[in-house]
Amino acid sequence: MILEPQLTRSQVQGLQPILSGEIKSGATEFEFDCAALCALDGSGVALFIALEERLKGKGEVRLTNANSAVQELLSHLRLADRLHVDVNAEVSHG
Amino acid sequence: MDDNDALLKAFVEESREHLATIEADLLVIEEGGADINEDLVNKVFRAAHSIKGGSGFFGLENVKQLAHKSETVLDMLRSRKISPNAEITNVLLAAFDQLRVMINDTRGSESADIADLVAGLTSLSSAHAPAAALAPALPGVAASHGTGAGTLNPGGGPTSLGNAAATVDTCAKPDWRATSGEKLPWFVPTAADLEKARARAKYVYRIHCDLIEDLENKGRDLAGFFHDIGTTAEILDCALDTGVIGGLENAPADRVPAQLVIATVLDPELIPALFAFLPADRIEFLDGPHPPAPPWVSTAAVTTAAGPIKAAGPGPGSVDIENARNGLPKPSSPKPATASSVEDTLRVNVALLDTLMNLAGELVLSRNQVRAAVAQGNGAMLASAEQRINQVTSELQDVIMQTRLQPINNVFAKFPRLVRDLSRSLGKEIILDVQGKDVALDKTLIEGLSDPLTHMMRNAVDHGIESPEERLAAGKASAGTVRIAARYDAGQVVVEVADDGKGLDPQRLSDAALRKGLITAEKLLGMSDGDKQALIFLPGLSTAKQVSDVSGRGVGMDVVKTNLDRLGGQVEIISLVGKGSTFRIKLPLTLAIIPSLIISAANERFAIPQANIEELLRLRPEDIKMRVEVIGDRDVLLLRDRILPLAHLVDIIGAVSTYVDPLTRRVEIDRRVRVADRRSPHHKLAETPLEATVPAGPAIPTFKRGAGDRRRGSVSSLEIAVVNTGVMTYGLVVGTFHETEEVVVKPLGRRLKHLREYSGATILGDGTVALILDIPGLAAKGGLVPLSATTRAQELAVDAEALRAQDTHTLLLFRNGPGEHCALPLDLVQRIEQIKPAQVERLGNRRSMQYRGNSLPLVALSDTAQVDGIEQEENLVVLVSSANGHEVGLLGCMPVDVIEDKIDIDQNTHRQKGITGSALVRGHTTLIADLYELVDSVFPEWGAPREARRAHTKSEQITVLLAEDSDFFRAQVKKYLEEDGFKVLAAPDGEAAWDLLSANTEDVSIVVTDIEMPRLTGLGLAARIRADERTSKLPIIAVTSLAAEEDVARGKAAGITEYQAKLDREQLLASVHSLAVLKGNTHAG
Repeated sequence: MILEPQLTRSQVQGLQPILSGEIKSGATEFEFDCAALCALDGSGVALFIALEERLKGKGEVRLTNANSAVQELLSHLRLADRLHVDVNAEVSHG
Repeated sequence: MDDNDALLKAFVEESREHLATIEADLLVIEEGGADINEDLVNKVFRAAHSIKGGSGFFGLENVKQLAHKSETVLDMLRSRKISPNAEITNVLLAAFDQLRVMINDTRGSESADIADLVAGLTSLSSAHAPAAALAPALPGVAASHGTGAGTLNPGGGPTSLGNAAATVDTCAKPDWRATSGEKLPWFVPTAADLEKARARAKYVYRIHCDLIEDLENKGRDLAGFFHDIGTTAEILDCALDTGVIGGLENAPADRVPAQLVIATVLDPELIPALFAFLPADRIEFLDGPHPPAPPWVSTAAVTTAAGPIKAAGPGPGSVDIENARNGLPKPSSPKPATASSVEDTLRVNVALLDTLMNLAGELVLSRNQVRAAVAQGNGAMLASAEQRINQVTSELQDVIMQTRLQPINNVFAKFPRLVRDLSRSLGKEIILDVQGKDVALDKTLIEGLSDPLTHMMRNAVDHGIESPEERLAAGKASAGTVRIAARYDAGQVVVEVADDGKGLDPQRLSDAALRKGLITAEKLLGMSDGDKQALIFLPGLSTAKQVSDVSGRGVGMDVVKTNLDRLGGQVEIISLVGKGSTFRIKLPLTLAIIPSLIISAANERFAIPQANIEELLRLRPEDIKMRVEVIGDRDVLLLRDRILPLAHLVDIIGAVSTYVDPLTRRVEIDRRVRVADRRSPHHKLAETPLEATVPAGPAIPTFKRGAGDRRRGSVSSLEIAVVNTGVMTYGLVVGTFHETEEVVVKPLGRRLKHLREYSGATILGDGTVALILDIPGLAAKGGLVPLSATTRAQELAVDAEALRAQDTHTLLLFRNGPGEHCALPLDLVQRIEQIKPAQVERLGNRRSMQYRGNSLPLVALSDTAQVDGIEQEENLVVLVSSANGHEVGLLGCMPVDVIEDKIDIDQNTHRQKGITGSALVRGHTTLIADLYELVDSVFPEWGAPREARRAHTKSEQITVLLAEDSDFFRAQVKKYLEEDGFKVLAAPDGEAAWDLLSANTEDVSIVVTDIEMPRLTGLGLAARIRADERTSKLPIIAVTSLAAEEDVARGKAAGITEYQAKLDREQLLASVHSLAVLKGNTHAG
């Protein structure tokens, strides 16, 4: 799934039911392409946590291509490991 | 704030103003190509130069360097060494984007990576070559694009640099450790952490904050928050309370509590400045190199901490900083959280400030006057002071509102770039039309509009406009047009986002909604195409065949709607498949104070924003059965040709519905399940007794009822506010209507803010608190759906069409004293004012009243007709109208009502001066007032200009052909025209009119016609006139009581020159006079 530049409450309200639907359809692995993602707020963080909690033991969440700032934020929040943030991807300096 | 901070703040603010217009200017420069607009280039150059100068002063080297390099390229442009093209524009846009980012975060600007941009600008300036040759010389551009950095996009696609750097930026990496416990009970720092901090002479704090409540909801950037901490502190650990985050099936989380342990050199006196937005008790002191409490912290404020902290350092304890602040001298003024936090500043015109100063002075004088009046017990003086304070307050409100107004161009300005970049990346040709840039709105609204409008513009470009190939195949121009326009309209601002693209396909939208389970097939049955198009606002609905990175993930329009709802706005869709779509947004000018109707229900008062109200209805008990029906399981209201869902406020808010028993005066529980159900079984609530009774008052009318008949008395009339959410209209049954008030909006408290049926609260004039109803929220909670396509709705439409074909009248009913029923054509009434008898002033044998700062002349039917005088009646009303170019009021009494029906007017039996005739209305003989005759009689001098006009018209011998099937209207209009000197040929239908015209082709100068007539309608007559070369250029005025936009459009197509309201003598005569001279020259059809 390719994320838009913002993952804030507005986007979460729409994305949450879609993810929920995907899980009901049997999906267990969620990979988010964060190349464009530059704004992540508390609602966005909560969405990742809720998804990860839901999948616990059955699958995993993976964030790829996150820029350095998003990586740092998730590391600050101690979520980098839990959300399998791909730290090897090339990152922007924006 | 020291002097340096103030200077920096001013520099940032000024730079932002420079940068605000540069984007649009660069795009215009690019569009001009080799034809360089020197003024504009100079303007951009000067902006870059100013930023360079200021940044040098503050030692902002990166800003200075980038501004300098940009300036060099701009200098080459103005000296025509290079010509602007897309590549050069891209580099400059990206450079200014980066400058904007660095200006917004001056402190972090030095760590920004500007190497690629500097390289790109240097390549441009060093090449000294024609622009076309420069493209390959941009290694930095290609490189950064290739890495996905989003810094530059030579292909013209969207760049994300601005957003990226504005929202999250790199910061010094803290010393990461393995993730610690993540759930409550909360973690504590390890002894090793504390030891390390002590060794570095740092203080250790635990910060409690909520990522949503404290940051997101307050508009604070999460990454920026950590960034700010990172610049002055080391984050030792962080934990989130994931237990409060609901599952995916629940609503999005509204709390994410977090704890951070930080080590910093900031002592307890300074640390609050870093977290200025958090209550002081969220900052918990854990450890430090010195005694923890600064001199101003009292001993009492220090409490012993538990756990390992106790043994952690020399000053164990937790400091309640809030309490500490209340102790001894306040700490020196805290430093701002960020050096350049100027988001909350606003430039205000000095003239406005001067006006505010004057008004403040006026207020002081008025206060002194009140004091003196109270001290002297002088009632008259107090009344005068009250009036003055009222006036000053209103003016203050206006001026303060003006200080907050900003041009909507602050939002519109980004769209040229957005459309340019998006259209290029999507391979589309798009012309952007921006209108109404100067329309001003409250600052809060401007900020709130940015995201929804951006999303709608992206949608228009991505989904609305077709590819050039598709457009050509559909017979359209290859380039599509996207229009964004703003205008003032009736105290509101209307913003439209329109495209001439493919339009919204209602079938596809309803199919998608059905497939995704967002709506049931049963509900879809009752929906018109317009209702189905409004499904686009449902969460999770997307009909895009391909998910793109621009839009189309089913995330968007619902959020747009939600955001606009929050702004008090309404959005409606006008869309035709294959032709395009228009999203029309109506917004209040401000959110702080809104005009509202106060209503009561369940013994509580509520405010309904007037922007949502279409009309107010009072259904009398005997009318309820005819006007309220049941469709499916829901009450519906029949309103003229519409069928509207009916919602009961008390049901939605979960209160108990009551009514006053006319016999016992007790408040009883309403046992009916629905209004239309007059004999439904006992409701279970009926067993609950209610103690409240209404106080004894005026006699309540009695009524007859049979055994088992639970019809209510007249006191149980239904009061219904017809309200509009933008996508749907519905009837809201309330208890009682009260007055209208401008209410000051207060946010709801924590316990109420999740309730979607309320948008805020207010304090009324009498000091009571009223909740402000959220009209879209109520509809959503009540599960209301549009019913416009139901079979019953179609039947109503047919009935209404038939009624329109008849001779209907819309009359305003009033009383002339208790026993005399009177009426006036509604079209003549501009406003209705309730007044007290004492407000009527006598000047000789004439009356007037103070009205909106002027004197309003008053007339009464008794001035010319044999009816009762009413000046001393209570419940006086003034029907404000105009005649002979003067505003005038007709005195009447309550109650006032409106009726629209087929009414036979008898022009003989009760005809008197000022009474044009009578009719039987609701069982009463009702006198129809002739306002013009009344005014002509009381104020004959007002008719002098008409006299002159009449003499002229008579001498010109102008003949008017009048076609009107209603005897009453025909007689009235004929009278008006003849009084003004016209010769009138009158006919009772279109066919007769055509015969008269055919026989008098040479004489007739103008045609005045009704629309609905037997044998040949007004439209048919117009078409026939236009088709005959003898008459094809005759001006035609249509007089009608109903002229909706579509009626006007049909009339224009048939050849009607102008529409006029029936019986509006002034307008009609003005039009006839002006058009009659056009005979044989032109017509506007």
